[in-house]
Amino acid sequence: MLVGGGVKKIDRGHAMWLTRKRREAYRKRYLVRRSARRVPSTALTLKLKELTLFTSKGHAAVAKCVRRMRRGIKDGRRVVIDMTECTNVTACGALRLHAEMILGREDSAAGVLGVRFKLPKNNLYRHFLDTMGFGLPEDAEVKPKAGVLRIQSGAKKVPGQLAQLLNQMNERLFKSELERGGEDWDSLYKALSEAMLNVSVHAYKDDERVEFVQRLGERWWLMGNRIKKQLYLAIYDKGIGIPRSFQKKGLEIVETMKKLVAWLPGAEGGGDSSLIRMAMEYGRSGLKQAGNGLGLDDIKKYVENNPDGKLHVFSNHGRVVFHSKDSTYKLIEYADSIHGTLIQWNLKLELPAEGKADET
Amino acid sequence: MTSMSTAATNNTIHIARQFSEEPYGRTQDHGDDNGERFRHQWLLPALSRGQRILIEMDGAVGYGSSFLEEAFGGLVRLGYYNKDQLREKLTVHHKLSRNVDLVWHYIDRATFGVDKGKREAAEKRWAARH
Repeated sequence: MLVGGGVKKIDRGHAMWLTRKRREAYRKRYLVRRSARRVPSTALTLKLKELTLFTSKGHAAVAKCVRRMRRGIKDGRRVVIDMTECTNVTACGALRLHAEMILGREDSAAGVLGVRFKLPKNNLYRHFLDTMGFGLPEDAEVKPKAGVLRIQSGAKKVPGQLAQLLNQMNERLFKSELERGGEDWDSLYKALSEAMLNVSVHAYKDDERVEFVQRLGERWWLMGNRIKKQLYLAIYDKGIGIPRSFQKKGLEIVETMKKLVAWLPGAEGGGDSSLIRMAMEYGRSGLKQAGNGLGLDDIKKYVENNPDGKLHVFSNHGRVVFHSKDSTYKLIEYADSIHGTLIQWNLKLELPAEGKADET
Repeated sequence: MTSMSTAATNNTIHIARQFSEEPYGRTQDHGDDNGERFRHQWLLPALSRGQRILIEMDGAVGYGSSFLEEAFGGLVRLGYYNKDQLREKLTVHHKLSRNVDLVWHYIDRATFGVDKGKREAAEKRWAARH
């Protein structure tokens, strides 16, 4: 239909058709369709059966997949990650693999086509990965789903970034129910700003990461998922990791903290998990006066205030799990490193009981 | 952003209107709207005039703990004012009382003068930018 000065006005149906076509065009580039003809014979296909960091098996499987993907890219091959038989998919595993795939494409001679993937056959997992924008660059269109914040990535705090992110979260996760400046909004702001600051302060302050930072900035990836009144957030960075960052504070501080946390079960092991545990304790020990980031301590406070709160801190080879219910810590060591830090936690929101947002 | 004279005339610092709607981070490394800049550009000049000042925190997108610790806790750590002096000179207001409590928590927790050695460097950094 033509109106006024010849401006073409498209109807709703046409607009939807256009959006669908655009979305399909994007997805064609990154997703491998069932047709085997699309996969070049020289492509390296990596089968992944568990996409999680919560189990030792899954943690090892993701690490192996990432290792082989990097080797394949280095050898100039295209890589296809086949998750069709995946039996366990969690946000932390997906976030890590997503980041590695995006970075892999940066290094691949084939560019965006260098790393592609096949989604799981399981509808629940497929839908989950689909709505979080798994494996897709930020500018690719993803069908929005209430309760899921697609993966966001950033490199440096720019003015207005947090407001934009919070507005987006409010729209996607809460159907704009959050009051700007209200308690939930404020909790979210604090959690996100400290998590981002933590990355900027600790993660990339190392000579080894200079080249990475020059190329890609102090990059982080973030995703969110709302389930009823619980908001799950996860942030991943490819920095030096908490254990190395903590050791850089000096032997004296590490030794003092070792004595302070020696009574904690498992903390005396000396592995990455005990260093993460020490770093968490250090933030609240009073030894730190002008610490750079209050990040971990701050995040933990919100988890503590949540009766169903859980905080998972994965960093390099270690993992520390904190349960608010009984205020216990669990320390776990893995054979493989995640080459960075992934923090996943959940906040309890004070939303009205009969919220309009979907409870997924 | 309004000029410093605005703060001087009515003894109120409205963070969102006069400084930034999105205060974030500790130092310049973390962005322009950091706690160190707020301390040097707004808090210290206003406190030096000797009158009681009101910090109005309403209207901002939010307040990160690092910003609040650096801006307010930093006044004590760097040895500018002790806790009692700040109790006499400052009134803090925000619609969420927990943010007001947080400001006083960081002031109370800080040890007076513990980072005095860093004060000179902070002042130099600030002077270099102006």
